[in-house]
Amino acid sequence: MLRDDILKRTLRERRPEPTAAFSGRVRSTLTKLPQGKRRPAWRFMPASAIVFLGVAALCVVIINNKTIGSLFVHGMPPATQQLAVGGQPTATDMETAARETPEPTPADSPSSNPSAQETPNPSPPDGQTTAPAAQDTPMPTPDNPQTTAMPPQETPEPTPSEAQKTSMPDPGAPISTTRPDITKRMDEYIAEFLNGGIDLREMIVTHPMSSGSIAYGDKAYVDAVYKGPDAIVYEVIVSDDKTGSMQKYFENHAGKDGNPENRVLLRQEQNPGLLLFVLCPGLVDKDYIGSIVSEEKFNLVVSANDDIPSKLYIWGIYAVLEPSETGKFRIYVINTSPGYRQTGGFTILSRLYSDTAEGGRKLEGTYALPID
Amino acid sequence: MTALELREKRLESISDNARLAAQGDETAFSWLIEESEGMLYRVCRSILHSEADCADAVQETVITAWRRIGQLRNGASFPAWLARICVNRCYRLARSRKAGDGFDEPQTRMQSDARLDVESAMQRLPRELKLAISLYYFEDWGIKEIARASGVFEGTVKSRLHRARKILSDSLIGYKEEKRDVTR
Repeated sequence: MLRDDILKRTLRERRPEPTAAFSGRVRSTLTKLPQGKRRPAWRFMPASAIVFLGVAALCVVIINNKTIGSLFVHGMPPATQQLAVGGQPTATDMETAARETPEPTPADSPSSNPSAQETPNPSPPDGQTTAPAAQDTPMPTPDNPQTTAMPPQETPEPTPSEAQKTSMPDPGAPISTTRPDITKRMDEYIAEFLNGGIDLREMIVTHPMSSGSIAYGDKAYVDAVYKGPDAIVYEVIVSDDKTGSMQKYFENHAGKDGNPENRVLLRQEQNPGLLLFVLCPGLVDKDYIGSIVSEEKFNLVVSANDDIPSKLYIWGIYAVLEPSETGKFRIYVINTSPGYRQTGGFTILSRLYSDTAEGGRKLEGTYALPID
Repeated sequence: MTALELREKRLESISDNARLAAQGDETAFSWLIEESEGMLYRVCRSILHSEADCADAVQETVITAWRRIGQLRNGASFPAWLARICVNRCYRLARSRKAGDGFDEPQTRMQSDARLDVESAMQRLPRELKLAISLYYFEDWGIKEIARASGVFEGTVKSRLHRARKILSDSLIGYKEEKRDVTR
């Protein structure tokens, strides 16, 4: 057989071209095309694509409504309302808040600030006390506004105690339509964080860390704040209310492995749902966290993982702040418990995005930190 | 600009014009037909024998294409779509002629006459093989496009191409050998 390229070349040389008669017939036909009605542009789109687009648009609307509604058990806080309409507390708002609220100084420490000691403790109802470190540190509760500064709302804000009782928005409050500021630089955001410009008093679980223990929609409360030069550590308690389900969960399940000591251990020595929530520009070594947090609390949460038989209930958590594509943040919360490398995250009000990340993932990059 | 880039650019123009034509733009449609004129002619020639039949077939093809271009989903596949219409028109026209009218029986002729040039070798191929060869070698189409234009499976196209190549190759080799003998 002839080679294909030779055959191709031979045939191409003899390729028949349209004759004049043929071309003439084509031209004359083109001049006499029957007039039809003009077709709309969407007619070019496949019918399946049109149906798909319609269904997709409908789904987006439904899912949006469901998601926003389900995030907050007691309703939608004003900040989320802002987010829902595409708004966000602007950088200017945050800076104003930071200016109005003095940053925490050594003089603000609980030893010299009685209000911090008066702050309601989110410990379980059985009278169990939190670890001493929590009391030694200013708590970012509404009663102690010096530790954190809330972004100012456009409506008169409820008193802090009212705000803590419920997250129901003021129905008469106008909804902000301020567009998100996506141009703000990462280091400015971190500085804002570390200076307490972002309220971490109330968070919500959006990515449960392990099945059953912390559930979607549970709320998380900051119980204590530890500040270091390179990171800020929030001691967080997760619960669906301040005294509720986490304690019940531990009571019900702590002795599941047949060892009653575990239950005792957890109830007496472990604050249920206690997390150390570390915000830092990149991962920090847990020894560094230990240098910020009191040794007792640190050992309880992080180091004790290897010693306590029921590891499921205790986490050492690192959270990594990372800018998202939209200019907001994701917080990666990495579960460091041996055997439980699942990840989870929190949405902190409407200000931050939460997301999952692979356990132990290291993120590159460091940022300038103008920390006090 | 490389041949590949030229081909891509042409395909892009075809796609754009097909979109416009689908919206009723006569100028865009005319451009498309003029671009495809050579291909239409060769498709007609591969199925029909007479020039007059080719002209009739192309006229019907153009009118049908204009009426139905709104149904075309993908502008880039316009050439294959147009060729498909043309092939159908040609077959219909061929059926309306008397059986065997204008079409030669390839086997007998090729055996009896070794002095065949490429053109006549092509003319003596069965029309479905001729169509496959025409689109593959003259238009540089892929198997997929040829299958779409012919309304057959890709495997069938490959098989037809193989058969056509063998017939052509045999006839051309025979032709060359005879030519060499004559010149000695």
